This record gives sequence, C-alpha cells and structure tokens, in this order.
Amino acid sequence: MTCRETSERLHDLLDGRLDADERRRVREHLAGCLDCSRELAGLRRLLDRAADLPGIAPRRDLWPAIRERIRPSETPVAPPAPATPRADRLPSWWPLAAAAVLAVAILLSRLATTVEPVEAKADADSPRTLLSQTLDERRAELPPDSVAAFEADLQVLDRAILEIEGALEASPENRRLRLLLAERRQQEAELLKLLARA
Amino acid sequence: MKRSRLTPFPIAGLLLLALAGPATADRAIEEHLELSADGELAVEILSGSLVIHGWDRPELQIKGTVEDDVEDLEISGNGTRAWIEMDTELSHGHSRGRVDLDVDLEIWMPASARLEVDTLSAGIEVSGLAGSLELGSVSGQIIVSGAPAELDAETVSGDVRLDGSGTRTGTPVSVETVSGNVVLRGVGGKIDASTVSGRIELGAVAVVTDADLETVSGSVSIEAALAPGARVDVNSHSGSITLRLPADTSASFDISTFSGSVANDLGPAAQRIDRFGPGKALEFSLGDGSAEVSVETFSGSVSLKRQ
Repeated sequence: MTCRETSERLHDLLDGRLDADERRRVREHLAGCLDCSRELAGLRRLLDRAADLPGIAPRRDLWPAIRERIRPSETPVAPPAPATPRADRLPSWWPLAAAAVLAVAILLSRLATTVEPVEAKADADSPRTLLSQTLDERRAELPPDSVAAFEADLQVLDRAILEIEGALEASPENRRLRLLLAERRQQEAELLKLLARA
Repeated sequence: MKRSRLTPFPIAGLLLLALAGPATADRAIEEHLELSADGELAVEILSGSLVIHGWDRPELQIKGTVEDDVEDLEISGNGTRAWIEMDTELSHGHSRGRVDLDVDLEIWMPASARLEVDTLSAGIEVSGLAGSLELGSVSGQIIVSGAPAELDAETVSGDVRLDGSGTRTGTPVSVETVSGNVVLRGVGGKIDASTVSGRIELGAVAVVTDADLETVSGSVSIEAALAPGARVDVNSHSGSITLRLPADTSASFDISTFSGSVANDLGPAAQRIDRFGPGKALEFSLGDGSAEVSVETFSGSVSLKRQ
C-alpha cells in the first residue's frame, strides 16, 4: 500500500470503518512509514481538539442569526429553537451550533489575516517544521528565486491547511474536509522529500 | 572504460583572468563514447543548458561549451553506462561557492537508452528518446518531446512540459513541482502531477486512462478523451478546475467542493450537501459510466464543459 493510499484510509481507520484486510494493510504500512504515522498522529490530535470543543450555553438564542449567516438561501431544516437561557432545556443540536459560531469566528479571523505571513501550527518533528529546517540548511546551495518560490508556496500551503482546519472546527464530521486536509498534509511530506532531493 | 576529465583551470589562464578582470571565456568540448542501445546516461551539472537528442547509433556524442571556471567536468563510460558529471562540491579555488558555472551541452544518445539528469538551474530539453527519463532541476525548465517509455520529472520552480505527439498512449508520467507549471500534451497512460502554485494542463489530444492531478492554488485544466474504465482524480484547494470532455464521454462523476462553485454543462446542477455549511456536490453519469472522474476542492471552482 502506498503512502497516498494509506493517507486516504486514515480517517476510516480512526472511524473504525475499514474491513479487517484493509485495516491490516494500513497498519503494516504505518509500521514502516514515519510520514504516515505522523499524519495519523496529527489527525488524532485534530479530532481530539474537535471533540473537546466546549458546548457553551449562550445567554440568548443565537440560532436564527446563525441560520441566516450559514444558510441564507435555504429553508430551515432544524427544529425551531426555544428562546431560553437554560442549558438543560436547549435542543440537542445546540452544542454544534455553538461550536459552529466559535469556529466561524476563528475561521473569519484567520481569513482576515491572510495577507500577513502565516505561521503553521506544527510540532517539532512535523513535516512542516522539517521543511523549514531543511530549507534553512539548503538555502545557500539553491538559486535564490527557487528559495523565494519555495517559501511563498509554503505560505500557500500553510494557508490552505489553516483554512481547512478552521472549516473542520465548524464541521468536524465532514469527511471530505478531512480528506482534503490529508491531501495537503501529504503534499507537505512530498515537498520535504522533494527538497531533500533537490 | 574511457575516461576524459577536462583539465583544471590552467595557470596561464588564471594569470590572464587576473589581468582581464571578472569576464570569463568558454572552452569548446567534443567527446564520443560508446553506449549500447539499452544503456544508460547520467548527467549532473549546475547551470547552463542541456539539449539531448535520440539517434539510432550505439554511441554518445557530446558537443558544447564549458565556462572556463568549471574546473572539473568528468565524461566517462564503460559501454553500457556513461556519466557526464560536474564536480558540484565547488571546493576549488576561486569558483568555490559559485552555483552559476555554465555548462552548455548538446548530446546525441541511443534513442532507447535510459537517461537520468540532475541540474540546479540548467534547462533540460529532450527529444526523440524512447527509453525511460528521470529528469530533475531545481529552477530549470524541463521540456520533453517524443514518446519516452516513462517520464519522471521534478522541479522546484521550473516548468515541466511534455509533448507526447500522441504517438504512444501508455507512457507513465510522474511530475512533481512546487511553483512550476505542468503542461502535458498528447500523452496517455498513468499520469501523476502535483504542484503547489503551478498550473496543470492536460492537453488537447490526450487519451487519459489513469490521472491523479493535485494542486493547492494553481489551476487544473483537462481537455482530453477518457479511455473506457479510465480513472481521473483531481484535487485542489483554491485552484480552479476545468474539464473539457468529448460529447460521447462515458463516465461517472463525483464532484464536491466545500465553498467553491460548480458549473456543469454536461449534466445536472450541483446540490448542497451540508446542512450547516456551503458545501456542494454533484454525482451523475454519462453513457455507460465506465470511466470514473472524481474532483474535489476546498474553495476552487469546478467547471465541466463539452469539447
């Protein structure tokens, strides 16, 4: 199984959706692949953070405004929300709505700063950190225009990852978003290999 | 083994250079080596240019010029393998640390032999080769014409262009760049292309059997016929994706975007898929649906058009 095939199955692995044979093949690959193991660890942390998002009890009913901002062109499908401040009487979807408000705010604040250099959240041994370190080490050996292009594109990739992570905070169950995130993480790892070979 | 090492910078030349200032001259070179039809040539230089042609002789011919400051350019071979290698450690004399030492070569090699090239900024131009090509340049452009058995190309900022001329549809192509554009025309078979900000173009006369195209902010454009049972995966973050397909295309489509738009001239309109988000998805089939097309973006627009 290749890194890409493994990466595409990591979400299903965490969700327990792989059959026994695929699970075995993914685990065999993970046992010998540091990049994919790190990607799996990153995905676990992301899901843990999403799961830890607090269900905040609001002072007033925010749902109508949320509905207007998120679904401006469609008929509401969620049940009408009682205007009550008491958490124990809130509808079951309320934590999701509250989380969505927080996540949308986070996403908007991040998008608003996209003209500034972006610092990706990265662990010390993540492909992103290794990319920066390797680029610094090789800076003197590479043509300046290539270094500049590489740095600019790392920013592009950082922004993409931040945007997807922000959207995932609003929709942690969105499997397509998680696949997009996995693709971008995979691209980071591929860039690291390319830079090492250059 | 024939071995030809260009002599180090002569003392008389060094004195002349000292008197004449920083301007440097070029040395002309011409070498001939035996190389079998199933042999292999490896080239490693920093800057300058490489133009490589295939021919029907079991022989390698190398002509060109070398900047005088290039102190070591080794040309050697044993009949089945040949090397053209510049000393890239750059640890000699006044050229130490320089990465702009030009080597401009035109090479003729057996058409079916394998070719491996690594350069820093030198452009690579290859034509008429039917063997496997493994080409890498940090900032140089890679241009290939003809129908190689296989192409593996990597750059950081250089563009990659392959004009397969439609003469062979089974050429596996793998291209990876960071900011370079990827333009593939007249190719088929398995195609893997990945870039961050470059654009990917899969050109007019291609018949695609298996394509995996990936970009972050660059656009992707496919104008091709899909072979029966073909599989096409396109993935982008913010780059737009355009597919122009023939009217008789038989394929099933799975299109989705988180916040981009979807315009479909081939079938139904996309539907919202997320109760709380702006995501859109589109699944439909044309003909017997034997080919599979999957397109996924975060914010990039998707457009399906008829050729």
